[in-house]
Amino acid sequence: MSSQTSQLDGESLQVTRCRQGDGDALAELRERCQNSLLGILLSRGADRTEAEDLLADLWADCVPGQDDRPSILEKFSGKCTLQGWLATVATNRWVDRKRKQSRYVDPGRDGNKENDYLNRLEAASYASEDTLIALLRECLKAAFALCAPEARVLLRLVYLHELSQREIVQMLGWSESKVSRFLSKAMEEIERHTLAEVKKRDAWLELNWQDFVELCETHQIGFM
Amino acid sequence: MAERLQILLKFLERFDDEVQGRELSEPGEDTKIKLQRFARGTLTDEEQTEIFILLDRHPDWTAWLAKEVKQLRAGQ
Repeated sequence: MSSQTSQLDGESLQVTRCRQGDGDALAELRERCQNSLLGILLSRGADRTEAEDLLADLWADCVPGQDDRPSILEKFSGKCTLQGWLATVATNRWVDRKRKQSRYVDPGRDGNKENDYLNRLEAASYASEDTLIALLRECLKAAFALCAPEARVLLRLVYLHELSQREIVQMLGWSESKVSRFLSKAMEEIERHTLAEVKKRDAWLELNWQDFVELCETHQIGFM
Repeated sequence: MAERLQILLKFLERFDDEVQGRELSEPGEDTKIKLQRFARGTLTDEEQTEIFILLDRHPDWTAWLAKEVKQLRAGQ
């Protein structure tokens, strides 16, 4: 049994206990993950107060029965690490909160209660569990759109449909080194354009390429 | 790096709202012949450019092409 499989099995037991409202399991989970989640949120651009507030809410939502709601851990599929999943949920909430704040316009002294209400309503309607998915998707799509059609097609053939680079060589009549260089350059461009697009959309969000890919992977396999 | 790109492409496949709900279409007979020639490596440079543009507009046809290449692989 690999160490990762055994880690996932151990976490699965802990998650089951947490979902049932086991206080010791919830405390253990918090003890184990609080500092690393705090570090992740700080590295992604949150300030300490924002990060601590978010995590306090996150731990509260792990407890079943709050406002008659099940624990948010019910949504954890068990196919990725629990810490990675919690980091994704926390990042989604933080992005959502920052966007709400940036869209909320303080009506000030001259503002009236009706405008205040409308501003809050608009901000609330913008909030969604899918905020982060939409951001990741739109940034990736924008990056792919900047590639040449040849690059998009070859990347799909090699990395989605698993053709070998040798097969691409035979199809195109290119040298192996040309195919390899072409694919590497396309991947580098996607990385650069994707991260530039993140900055353009949410300048306060600090994501490196590893973070971006991990968030995509967790969304793909980590949620029920 | 390859594994990362695979993750990103699969993420887009799953969450792209333009892809979701779109019916997978089969290429027409003329296109199939061109794709078979592409798989065998017998297209000219100009024909390759045309087929890249076509496949880019119909990403689901790359699956058909990949299947064709894999069949050739199996036959070798």
